[in-house]
Amino acid sequence: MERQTDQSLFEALKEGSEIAFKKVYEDNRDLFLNFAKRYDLGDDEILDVYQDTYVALYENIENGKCTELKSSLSTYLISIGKYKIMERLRKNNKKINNEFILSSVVDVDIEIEDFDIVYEVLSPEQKLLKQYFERLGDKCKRILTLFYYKQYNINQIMVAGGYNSENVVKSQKSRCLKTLKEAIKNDPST
Amino acid sequence: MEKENLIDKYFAGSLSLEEQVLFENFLKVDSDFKIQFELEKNVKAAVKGSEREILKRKLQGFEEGRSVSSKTKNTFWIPLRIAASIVILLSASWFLFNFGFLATTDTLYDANYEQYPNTVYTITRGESNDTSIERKAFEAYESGEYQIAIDYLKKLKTETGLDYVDFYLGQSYLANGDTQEAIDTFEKIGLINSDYRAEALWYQALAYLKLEQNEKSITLLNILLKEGTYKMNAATNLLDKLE
Repeated sequence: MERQTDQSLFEALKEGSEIAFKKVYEDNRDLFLNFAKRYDLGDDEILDVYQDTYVALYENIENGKCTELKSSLSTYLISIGKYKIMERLRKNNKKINNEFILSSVVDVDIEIEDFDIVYEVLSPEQKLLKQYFERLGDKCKRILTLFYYKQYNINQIMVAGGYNSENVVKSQKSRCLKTLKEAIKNDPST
Repeated sequence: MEKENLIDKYFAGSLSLEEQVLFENFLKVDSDFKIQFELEKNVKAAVKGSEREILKRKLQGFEEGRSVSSKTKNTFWIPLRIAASIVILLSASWFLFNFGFLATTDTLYDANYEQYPNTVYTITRGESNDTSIERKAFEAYESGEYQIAIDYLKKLKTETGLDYVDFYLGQSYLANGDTQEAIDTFEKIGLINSDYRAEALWYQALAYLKLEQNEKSITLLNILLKEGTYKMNAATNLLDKLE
């Protein structure tokens, strides 16, 4: 029965349900925080790691890397969480001599092996692009988000965005990219 | 146009092998192609960064909502909380009395029980040749074959003294309907300084509920609340209903 609830939450997340987004976050919060408290991290940091973990899971559902639920949502969160905790401990320069966590992240858990969970720090150019991206009109933001974040192909964008043809999608996307390109070219800091 | 298609396909993850070769070749010999590709890679990072920030802010918003509501739960307000509880209790009793509705312990158990996920042993494809007892135990546990999980966990217990073995043994007993065994197992964890102490208290309390030994369940829930780490809201709600 638990699986079934999880399955429907997963489907709802895939469809972008805000209610599911909140519910899954709240439902797994205690479990995760309690799981993470055995590592050498402060309470605020643990909460921060949980949020990063949750965002990572959501992203992989959104971008289609996680198409079906192979285990429960909480297992996914714990699997990603172990990695994120490790990442945080490393960042804090803490000696990681905890055998348990080492043994558990040597192999990435099967269910998340194809996931994007490494977050690179943005380069100065990428930061600038991000600023200009956020200033774009809604149409551009949407098309670029569908393409680069959700990893839709041109045809899927055509359907999701109600465009008349693939060519319209392509030229719209090119225009948005061009705007960004011009913006950073003309930016005083570059 | 062909070049643009190649880049689009790259980002959609749908390059064929042939196209992959073509793509890599363009990267080497065509500097415009390379510049365009690098730009799009950076745009991708920027869009992702932006989206992640939006999501994270949303989650931080949930937390703020949480801390606003938990401010009223500050210890400072204990007298008020007690007064409020009495009011709630009185109105609840009035409600129950008038509508003849009583939550049975069975439904309370069902409403609160949720099997603890396997957070200990990661079952990975690469290790499929791993025939350890631990793997077998957790495979059985994850697929709901509790009797098998119990057998393996018992074996594992004779080999290692790790506390999680007891905890998952308790979980398996509970899921398998061996409620008294579950209680005995969880109790052992409560006696030692285990990472699973709070979790064990919660599940032991639920197990007592299942056996309709509500008084014992109440005692354990009170201890759990004093620990202050796990299932605080659920334990408070459950206590309200039991007392």
